[in-house]
Amino acid sequence: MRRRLAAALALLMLVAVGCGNRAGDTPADATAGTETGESASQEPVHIVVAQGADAVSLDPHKTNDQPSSRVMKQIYDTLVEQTEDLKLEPGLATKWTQIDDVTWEFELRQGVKFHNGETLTARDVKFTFDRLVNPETKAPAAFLLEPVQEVQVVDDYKVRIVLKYPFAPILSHLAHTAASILNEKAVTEAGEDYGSKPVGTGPFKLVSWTKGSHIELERFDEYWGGPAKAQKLTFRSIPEGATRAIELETGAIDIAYNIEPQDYQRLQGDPNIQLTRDMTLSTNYIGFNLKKSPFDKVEVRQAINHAVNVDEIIEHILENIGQKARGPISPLVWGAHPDLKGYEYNPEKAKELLAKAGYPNGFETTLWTNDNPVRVKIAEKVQADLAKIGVNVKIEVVEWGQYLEDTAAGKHDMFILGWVTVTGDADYGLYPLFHSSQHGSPGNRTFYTNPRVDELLDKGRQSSNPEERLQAYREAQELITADAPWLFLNVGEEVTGLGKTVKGFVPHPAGHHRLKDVTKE
Amino acid sequence: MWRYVTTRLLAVIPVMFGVAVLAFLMLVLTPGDPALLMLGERATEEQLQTLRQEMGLDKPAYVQFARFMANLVRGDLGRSIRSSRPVAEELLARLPATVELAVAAVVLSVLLGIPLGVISAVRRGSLADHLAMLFALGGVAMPAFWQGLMLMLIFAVYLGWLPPSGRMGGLEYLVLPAITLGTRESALIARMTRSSLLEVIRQDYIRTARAKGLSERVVIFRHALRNALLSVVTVVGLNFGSLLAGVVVTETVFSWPGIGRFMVDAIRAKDFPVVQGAVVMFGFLAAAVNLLVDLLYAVIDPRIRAQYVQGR
Amino acid sequence: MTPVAEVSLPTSQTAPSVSFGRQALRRLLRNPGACVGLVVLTIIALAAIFAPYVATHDPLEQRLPERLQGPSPEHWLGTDDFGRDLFSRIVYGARISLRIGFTSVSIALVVGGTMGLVAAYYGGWIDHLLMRIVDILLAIPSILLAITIVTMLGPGLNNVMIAVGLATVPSYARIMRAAVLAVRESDYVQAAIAAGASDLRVMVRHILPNCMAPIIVQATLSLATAILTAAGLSFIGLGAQPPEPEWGAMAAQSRQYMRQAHHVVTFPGLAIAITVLALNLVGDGLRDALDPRLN
Repeated sequence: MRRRLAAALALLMLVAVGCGNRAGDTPADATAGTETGESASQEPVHIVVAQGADAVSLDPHKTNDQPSSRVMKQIYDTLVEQTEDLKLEPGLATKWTQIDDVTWEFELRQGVKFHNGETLTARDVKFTFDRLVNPETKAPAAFLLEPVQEVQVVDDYKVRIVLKYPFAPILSHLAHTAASILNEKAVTEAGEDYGSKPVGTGPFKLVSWTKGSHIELERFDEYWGGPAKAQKLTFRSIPEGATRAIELETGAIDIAYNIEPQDYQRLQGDPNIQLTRDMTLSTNYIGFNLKKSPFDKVEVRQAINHAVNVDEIIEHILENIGQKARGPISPLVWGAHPDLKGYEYNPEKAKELLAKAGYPNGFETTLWTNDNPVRVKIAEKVQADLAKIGVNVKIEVVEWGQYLEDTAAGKHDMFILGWVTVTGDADYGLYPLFHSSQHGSPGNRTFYTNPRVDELLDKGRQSSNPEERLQAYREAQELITADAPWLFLNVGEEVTGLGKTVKGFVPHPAGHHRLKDVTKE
Repeated sequence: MWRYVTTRLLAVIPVMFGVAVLAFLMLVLTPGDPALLMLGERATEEQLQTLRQEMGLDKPAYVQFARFMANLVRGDLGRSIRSSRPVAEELLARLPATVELAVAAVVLSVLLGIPLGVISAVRRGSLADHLAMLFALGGVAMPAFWQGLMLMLIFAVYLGWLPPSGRMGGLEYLVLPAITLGTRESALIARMTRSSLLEVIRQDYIRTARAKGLSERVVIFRHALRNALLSVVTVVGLNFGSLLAGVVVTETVFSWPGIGRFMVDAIRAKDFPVVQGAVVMFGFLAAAVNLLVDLLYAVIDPRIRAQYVQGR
Repeated sequence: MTPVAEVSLPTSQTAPSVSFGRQALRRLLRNPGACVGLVVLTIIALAAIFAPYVATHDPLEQRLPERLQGPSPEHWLGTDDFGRDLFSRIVYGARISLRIGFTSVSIALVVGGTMGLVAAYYGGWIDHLLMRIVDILLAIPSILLAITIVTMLGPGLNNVMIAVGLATVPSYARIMRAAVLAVRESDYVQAAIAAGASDLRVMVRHILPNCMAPIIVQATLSLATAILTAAGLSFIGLGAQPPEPEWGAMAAQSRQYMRQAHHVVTFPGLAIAITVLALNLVGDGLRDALDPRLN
């Protein structure tokens, strides 16, 4: 018995030692590969990407979350392509024309192959969009095509989209990953399983998906835009930011998305790592409930904007990743006002404004947040700053479901939230949040109402004249900033970590980066 | 023997029923509208109404419960709010990772715990005994998440010997999570082995064996350890529940793609059907292990078998 | 989850004498491990009680520019990611951890103890029914019970205490039942019953005091488990909410800073480990002291 035990123990140790060696070998091999140069280029390129969560589904009509979009961006194409500098370019549609106020015609690229060998036709497009808006699909992103009345097949390579009302941003909505084009046959054949058997026209196709762990993609050699540079692409899910950074340092991954503020500085000093910092389309804010006293008074809202030291939040909590928000939308968004002043930190002025509103001694209120650690931290900082002007804030960490329900019902005082203007168009960043028709669950959780802003937002949405749209959005943003339905916090910035040898990565401000041209040298 | 097996098998039913009741209560008593959670903030009232009807949320609780149980028996755990995929399928996809981790941890803890316990019992009061018991005390006292973080820091970051996280194939990924999960268990086994060995050594038949002039080694291994093994099996069985607790934490620390981490993610995302499903799945695992332990017991200890053979 | 205290009752046939308690205490104090544990526990308890005097800073005061500093004469254990003094937070954390331990153990003790007492005293179908329920609950891993309860009640310390307490009810019921069964048939209990004492009086005056040994051991050991479980729940986000300085939550919330300032994770973790270790040492010592056979 003892001998057997000893043998078993010895075996266990061998296993442990063996493991140690194997793990130790990998980085060494990698360096050897790069040094020999020539031979490395013949090796198939395998890029490993890490993000904070696993994809939920690879069916664009079943989910609208970032981790899934990032994978789907490699598998699918959209009719219209939104470039990294937010220009709209031909995708699966080579050309489009606006026939009248509400009718758009798209000409499809010919000879485009799906991963299952099928050829793209206008029927796939109609099938895709009909499925997206069909209430039975329960697509979370169905709202994107809400203005669409009907999709008509003109011939094999021509589709018409008829709108319910004039809707200028329709092209950027069609560039959203959720509007990716599916293959009718593949969807019908896979049925319920389509979310794990996606078929697109994109540069990579799915090989395997180990739920909760990683997704393997492989180059699609018949891609219409020419083959991708990497042969294999793996998306790993690593929830902890610190662990993502460690994996990047140890060379186990090539690209790490969303490097967290606390890891930024350390990685910056690492010669084996490149970091990219890029503005995103997101804005973080604290919303007030304008239906409730004292937030119905504009002076109170302005006072709070002056009372919170946003610069300190950005410097110490966000570690300078992100910029102070001077208005409701990120400067990258089309239609953003370039010259807004925002609110400067000035507790004296805040006190004056409070006194003017009739609250010289402050008041008691609550601030809701979900359990996102950065938001909780911001809440703690806001609490400390507002205490200095006599406003006593109680922080409540509210569950997400209850949060949505109760903010929609107007039960809140203040709440922290973020918004990503995914389409890169001011309409998406302003209309749902500030138009009075959108009160409650559609998005306007502050219950902000300003008839002039409504008018301007309607104009911006319906006019087909870009200059007129710009004017309308500028004025709307000035009014919104002055009315201060939000405490404007920051506009987002994203840090991506890349291994030293990674080349060709261009970040997209919406967060779903295309990896077709990424390679390793 | 068969009678014993049947009795034990039947005893699993009320336990599973209890787990199911627990899982059901969770959904009913949790605040928030599941339909709204599933459809998201842009859902229309009409969509919400349809979904509520579909899910039977408009029915009284007992009807919902009957429905829940009927579905459960068919293996239908509902659909995930986030992925709208069947929960059972999502859980089964992650089950192998969890089982792999748990088995590795148990094997490790037995291989480490029993020798430690034997050494410290045989050499009672020696330095080896004290060291082993120090390990046993420390192993039980360290919070698993903390131990995991420290191991990761030392072996993955500073020494670079092992990968810090994930399960990308290869045994090296299993080492740190298995140690983290197995430490507490091996500490408990070491203690239990030691104390039951000490107890057995005092008993008459061991004294007899010694008196017969059998060598100490034979006495310990043939007679004493065999009896002590019973208690080890008990420990493994009794502590399987706490092992599951460790699974939840360990998987979170090491990004191990099993049911535990999936459950934590689901709790954070308020994906209640998944949390429910995970509770049922874990409950089932625990019941299965308890059953296995009881059966093992009967194999090791003839007295238990005898009770049931005679019809008690 | 909870290690079940394995104590055989010392004197089940005769009424215990006062000297047994004294003997036990003497045996406890002769055990070096238990003494170390007692000293450590006393220090922790004193720190918790006199936290405002022991702490060098306000545990909630933020000084962002001073964040993540290592140990120094000003901040003995360094500062956390908000620039709060870690030593002071750990001192106040002792209050929270002890409160979690005592509250949840009390809940388990009262509910489980009563169940076990009633079951053993009355026997028959009551015993049968209660014990079947306990069997079922015991078969469900207590972490699952706790997670389910917290998910229902919502995250937060109070709910964690309730959850951890309720989750350990079944093991107390079992231990209490076994202890009562052993005492119930003893002469002095039978004598009390014969003398016409009411059930309640017999249970409270004659049975309970003689069942305390295993319960005390179990309670000490499960204080430790309760603190560990609560820390684990805090780690997965179900326990203490910020800015409460609960040890588990402190380690969990600062873990993203582990690389650049590992003390923010190390010290709270050590605090938990030391407390749990001390409780286990005392628990083991008590068990040995109350169970003379091993000595």
